[in-house]
Amino acid sequence: MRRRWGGRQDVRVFAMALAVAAGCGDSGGDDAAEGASGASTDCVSDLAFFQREVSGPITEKKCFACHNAQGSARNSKFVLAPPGQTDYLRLNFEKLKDIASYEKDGVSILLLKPTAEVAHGGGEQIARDSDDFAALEGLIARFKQPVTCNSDPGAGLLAKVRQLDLPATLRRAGLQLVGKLPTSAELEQVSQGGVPAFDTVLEAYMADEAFYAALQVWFNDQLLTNKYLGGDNATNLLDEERYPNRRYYRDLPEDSEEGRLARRYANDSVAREPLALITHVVRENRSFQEILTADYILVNPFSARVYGVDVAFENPLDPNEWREAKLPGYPHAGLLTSPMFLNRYPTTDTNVNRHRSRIVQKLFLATDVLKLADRPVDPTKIKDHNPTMNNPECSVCHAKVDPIAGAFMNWDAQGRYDPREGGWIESMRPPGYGEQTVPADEWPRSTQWLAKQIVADRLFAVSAVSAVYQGLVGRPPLENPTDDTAPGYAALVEFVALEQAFLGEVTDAFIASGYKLKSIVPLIVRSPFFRAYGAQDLTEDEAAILGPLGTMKLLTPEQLDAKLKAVFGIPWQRAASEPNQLLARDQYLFFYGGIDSDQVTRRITEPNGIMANIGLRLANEMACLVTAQDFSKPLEDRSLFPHVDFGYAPEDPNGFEVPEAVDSIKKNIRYLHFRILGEVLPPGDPEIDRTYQLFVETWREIQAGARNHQLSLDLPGLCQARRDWETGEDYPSERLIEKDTRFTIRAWMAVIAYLTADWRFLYQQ
Amino acid sequence: MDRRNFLKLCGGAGLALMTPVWMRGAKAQARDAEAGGPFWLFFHAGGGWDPTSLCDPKGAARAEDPDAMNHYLAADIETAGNLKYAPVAENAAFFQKHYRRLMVINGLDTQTNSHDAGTRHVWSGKLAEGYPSLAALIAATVAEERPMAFISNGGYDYTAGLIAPTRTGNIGVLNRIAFPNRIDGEPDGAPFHTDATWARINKYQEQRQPYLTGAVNLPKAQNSVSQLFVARMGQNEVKRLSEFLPETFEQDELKRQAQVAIAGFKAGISQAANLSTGGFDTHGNHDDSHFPRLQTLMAGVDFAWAEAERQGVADNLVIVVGSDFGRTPGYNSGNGKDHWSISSMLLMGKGIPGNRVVGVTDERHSPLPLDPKTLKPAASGGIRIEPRHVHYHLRKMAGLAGDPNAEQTFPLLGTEDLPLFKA
Repeated sequence: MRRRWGGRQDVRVFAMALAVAAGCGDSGGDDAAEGASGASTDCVSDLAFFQREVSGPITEKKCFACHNAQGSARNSKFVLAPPGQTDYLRLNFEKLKDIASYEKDGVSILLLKPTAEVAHGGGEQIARDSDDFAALEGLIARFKQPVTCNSDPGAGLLAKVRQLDLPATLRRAGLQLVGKLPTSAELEQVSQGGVPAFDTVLEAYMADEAFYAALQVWFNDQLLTNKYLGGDNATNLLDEERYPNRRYYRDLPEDSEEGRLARRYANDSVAREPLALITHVVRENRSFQEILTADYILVNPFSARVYGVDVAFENPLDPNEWREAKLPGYPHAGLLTSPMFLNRYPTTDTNVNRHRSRIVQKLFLATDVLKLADRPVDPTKIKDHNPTMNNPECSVCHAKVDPIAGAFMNWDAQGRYDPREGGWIESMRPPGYGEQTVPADEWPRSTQWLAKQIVADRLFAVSAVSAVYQGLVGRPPLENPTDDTAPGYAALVEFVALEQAFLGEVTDAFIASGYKLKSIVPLIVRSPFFRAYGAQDLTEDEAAILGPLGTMKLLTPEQLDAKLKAVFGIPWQRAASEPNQLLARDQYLFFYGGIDSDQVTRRITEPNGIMANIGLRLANEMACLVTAQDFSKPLEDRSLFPHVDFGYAPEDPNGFEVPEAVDSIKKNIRYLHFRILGEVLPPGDPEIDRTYQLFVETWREIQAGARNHQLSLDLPGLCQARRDWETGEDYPSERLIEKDTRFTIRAWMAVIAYLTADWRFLYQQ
Repeated sequence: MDRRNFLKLCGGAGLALMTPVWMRGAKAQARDAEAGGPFWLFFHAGGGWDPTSLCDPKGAARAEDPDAMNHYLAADIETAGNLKYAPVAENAAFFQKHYRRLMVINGLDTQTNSHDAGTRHVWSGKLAEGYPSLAALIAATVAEERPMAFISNGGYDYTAGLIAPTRTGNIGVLNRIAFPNRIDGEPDGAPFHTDATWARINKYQEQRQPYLTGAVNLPKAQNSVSQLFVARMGQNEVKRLSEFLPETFEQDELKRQAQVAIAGFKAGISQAANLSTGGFDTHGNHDDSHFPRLQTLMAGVDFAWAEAERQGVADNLVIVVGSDFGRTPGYNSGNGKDHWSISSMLLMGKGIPGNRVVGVTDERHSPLPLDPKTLKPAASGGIRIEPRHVHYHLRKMAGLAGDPNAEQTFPLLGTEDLPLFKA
């Protein structure tokens, strides 16, 4: 074992950790979560062995410098994928496996070449008596006799990892996917029916409109095309000559409702088109490849008019009615030729689509080409003619970037289809993809050609899986660390191996499904990467490996907004006509870590003092808005107080407890712990008692204050139930609650605020 | 596992980690006694600025120079004390006003043409990923207990999980944030709950923390529970910010960022801030696009200094100005300039020797190797100034010497002690 890994203990921990991944795919139910026995094993999977013993110390450090797509050994059979590329471990594993199968006199070329026992351009890189040689021998042995590790989900480190049971997983998934709490029928269905029932409910969630809205948020975090929402931000980008109707709404009276709505819908429909295409493909359950290969653009009644295309709509005023359309003389290639995408990622005369190429690789090929430039370069020493072609410092990136850039040759800086006179730039690599070049007769449709190459690459599937994973787990897949002096390096390597192995399986399943995006969701949701919430008796090494596991992240403003609606029935708005305080840009959106897809494109995921205070204000204001309102409804319509009325006081006028009232109050508290926090507490749980103490102490305080005339019986105006939140219509007198005559409203407000400010509410649970 | 190891793990994994609330008492008390370290403003010129249009001027040899470095003439380069500056934009006003307190580092080798890598290198001192920005490192080390210790308006704000960044939005709602139990955010306005009830809610939330930590004892979960409780520790201190915010806010975004950061310093709730303005990536039409951005940037720095003086914190302030990298010598076919790894930094404020230039570049903006002892061009051999050399000293100025975060978790190994700041 290599020195830096710390011997057998690491192997054991790693093997135990692997069992987590092995059991993650479909272990499902409640039983998988808790109480499994912890038989440990020394098993190390082939890929894990490769990562640890071969990739890090040998191929990345000794081989890659020449054996890369642009290196001096680029014409050999042994060309490695760069570490900046997602999935590179698996690709390189397969590459070595292939190379190892070539032998001379019964000895693998994989041993003969690096020891220079056969001709090797790089000379001797590895000595026969070295650890590296032994590692290669070990790998070859594994190629011949693959090692399959125990995938018993009850074994190893999984025994210490507690996962949510299926009903709790459903709650988390429901909030995440559709912003809804599961119904009791769904919970019952899942409890009784296990994984098949769970998948059925999940499938129903994925048919819900809210799921497509969530998808749009996930993918906008990547595409950032929502930058153009509002004003004329999107329609202004369109060429007036080609689209003379681009701002048709300006013919309508500006101060009329019709004019305002037409402007908003027209602009925002054009802006949303890339995201609408994604949801259209998913909604129709088509291959996700169509997001790049679609030979159409999506329009609704408003954007159709902007583009001047003649499309029939069932409801010409419905902005949600999207139809496929073709713009004349426009070789559509899905997102790649969307005017919004092309404008969001523009080009210049000297950038010549390289920016677009980088973004395409980042978004659709899971490859960050800039990482190839992470190592020190010194352009002041570059004297070559045409260095992007001829100097290795430059070509390491440009060989990957320039062919794809060339395939965008027909699109100008404004995103117009405008083929260059005289073809592409001769001093650059020809338009293409990898080793392939765009056939000359395909040049007018080069981006369509490019799209077909991209979607046929496994990396396209990897990128789709990564996007869904990020949407559900709250962070992108972690990357293999490159600096072995960095803190936590060893543990992170272990975790990345787990995660990549899991995502590799999901990617296989996604491809096998015919690239149906919905097929990814249940696989991730049922995995420990989504369900893990606790662990027992972790050693320091185990805790280090499992450090990144779990989804406990601060909810984004959009997710928190959805949760508020699910739990309380309303967002954080004082009335329907008032701004949404979490999502409005002039309220708390940016303070709470939100993005505008323009200047602010990265979310803040760790709460600071400002965000902490916003969470507290949110809790107080929501408690104020919903408490009296809920009490003003008939018992059967209440979502928060189904077990009490506001006349239920815990003590009688003489200070004696009223047992029946106390029981009901505690029952309602237990209910609120479940509804607001998802906590299933048994009657008499100390947490219920703690919340009850808050209730009763507050009740006593208010009662005493009112009797001493130090506190008014009047509730603060905002907290009264006087009018309908949605319509603004005044309530009839029998529904009015303006005073806190029994002192319970404010006590319940305290309880609601207490629970809403809780970690379990503000974080993904 | 002790806190340090845990922090290392989570930092390496890209996870957030805040000091658990129960670990803070002694440390916070110790810090109070040490309070008074400088405040830091880091100005980031996003996109890669052109030092030859600012503080490392390279003019055209003549009007018809076919490969001119710039469109102004070398003979027109101006000086302010020992500093040279390009005769463009509003450079003259800035340099003439500030040269006595201004230090220029030229020939800074960022070793990259990549925006992300360059930004990271300049502001963390390390080209590879994984190190926090200097602002985050300072805030976490000397002002961890302050609720808005690290304000970020962009640039490189990776924290390695050491501390949470604060982002600012519409300043008009800050009062409502500062007073979460006041319905309309007025300090004396009507509350949602009585003060006694509010205190009770807070008390029970604190009491609940051990339950939560025990119930969700996965490292990441425990970490996030701690995050929230630590963040809430400063809820009352946020109120102080509103006391020091100016009556009116500037229209210019960069100046507004400075107003909030300096109010945070004055209120004692902030220690370091990233201020950011973009638009410097001028591959086409360089002069017309780049000069206005330089003007905005330098006006922002000038304003920040004036605001710091108005608030009475200028004596304890350090300003550092930098960018992703520099721009190529001369103009491309689109009259623009592309990416160039050689850049500059500007510094001013407490502990910074003014009217000083270090680093030398040739007429095509390549750095001359320097003698590491004298910082004069070396007769042979020599070194280039890299961001780590600057960070080495800035860390010392910030009081990070001896801190485990700086020296063990994120060390600048092998960095030469260059006499950059010896006047």
